[in-house]
Amino acid sequence: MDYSHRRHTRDTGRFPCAAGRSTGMRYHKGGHGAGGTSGGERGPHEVELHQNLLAANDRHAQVIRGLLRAHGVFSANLMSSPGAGKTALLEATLKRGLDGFVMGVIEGDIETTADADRIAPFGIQVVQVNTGPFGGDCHLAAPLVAGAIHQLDLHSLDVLVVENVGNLVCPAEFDIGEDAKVVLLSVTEGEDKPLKYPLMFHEASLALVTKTDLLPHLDVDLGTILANIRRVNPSARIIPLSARTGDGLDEWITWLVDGAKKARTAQTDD
Amino acid sequence: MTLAAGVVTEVERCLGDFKPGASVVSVTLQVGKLRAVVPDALTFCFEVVSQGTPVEGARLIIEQIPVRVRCAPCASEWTVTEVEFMCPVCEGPVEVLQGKELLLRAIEIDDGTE
Repeated sequence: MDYSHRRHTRDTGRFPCAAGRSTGMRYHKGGHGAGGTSGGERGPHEVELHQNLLAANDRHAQVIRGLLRAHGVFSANLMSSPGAGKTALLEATLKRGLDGFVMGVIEGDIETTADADRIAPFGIQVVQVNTGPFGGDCHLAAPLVAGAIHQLDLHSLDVLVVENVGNLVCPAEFDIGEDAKVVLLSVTEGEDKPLKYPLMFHEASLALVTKTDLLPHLDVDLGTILANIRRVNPSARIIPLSARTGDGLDEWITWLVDGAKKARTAQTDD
Repeated sequence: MTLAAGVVTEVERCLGDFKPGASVVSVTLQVGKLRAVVPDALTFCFEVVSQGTPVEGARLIIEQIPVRVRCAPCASEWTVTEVEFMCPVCEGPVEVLQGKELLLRAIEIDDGTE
C-alpha cells in the first residue's frame, strides 16, 4: 500500500467520523492509481481508520473491571463447548463451599433459565442472561454482562463466576472484564481440541480438564490432552478434575479462594 | 454475524459525515490469523447484514495478518504456521507480537468529490 499521497480531510479540518479523532484518520487517494497529489480529481478515495472493531466491547469491559475491583470481587469467565460440565462444576463448587467466601453467578445461555434454576437452590445470587432465541449470540459480550452485574449486590460478593455460552470459539474473542479466563475441556471431547480451537486455550490462564472419572471407559490419553494444552499455552495452569467424584475439586476451589483473597487485598490497598 | 454487524454499523457511522449519496466502494479489515474469523463466512455475513443499508454493495477486503511470536529468553522471532506457542528451543511460553488484530483498517468512499 502506497501512503505517499496522504491528505488531510476537508476544509473544516473536522474528521469525518468519531473514529478518526482518536485513531489518526488519513485520507488516501485510491481507485485511480497513484499520482493524485493535486486537486481536480474525482472518484473514490480511501479513508484510513485503523479502528479496533472490539473497541466498544472493550470499553464496557473496562467499566466492569473497575466496578469489580472497587468491590474487591474476583471474577472468572468460564468457557467451554456445550456439555463440558460448567454448570455441574458450579454445583459441586457450591456444595463444597469456598471456605467462607461468597460466590455469585451469571449464567449465559442463548435461551432458557435452566442453568440458573440449577444454581438457585444453593441460595446464592444468580442472574441468567439470554442472548436471545432464534439466532441469539453464541457468546457473552461485555454490554450484556454489565446489565447482569447491575442486578447483583456486589458488596456482599467475593467471587463472581460468569458461565459463558457453550462454544469453544467466539467467547474467547470478547473481554467481559473478568480477572481470569477459564476454559473447561471434558475428556470425552477428545485430545485434539486445544489444537483445533487454539485461541480459546491460548487466552485462558486456567484450563480445567473435566469428567476425569470417565477416563477408564475411554480411549483417551490424559497425558496427550495436557500436552496439547501446553503446546498452545505453556504458561496455563491445568487442573484435571471430576465434579462427580470430587477429584481435583479442592485445587480448583483453592484457585478461586486465592483469587478472592488477592482481590480483597487489592481493594484494601486502594 | 456480530462482527459483520459491527463493521456495517461503524462504516455507516463514518459515512454520516460525508455528502448525502456518498457510496462505499470497499471496506478493508485487518484480521489476525489467531482470530476465529473465517473470511468466507464473514464476507457472506457482511453481504447479508449490509443489505438495505448505505453499505450494501461494498466490497469487503480482508487482510489476514500472520501470527508472529517472540521468545524472550532466546531473543528470537518467528512466524507461527502451526498452533504451537511453545519455544522449540527452551520450551518456554512465547509472546504473541501480531496475529490478534481485528481492525477496520480503511474504507473507500465515492462521494463525487476529490
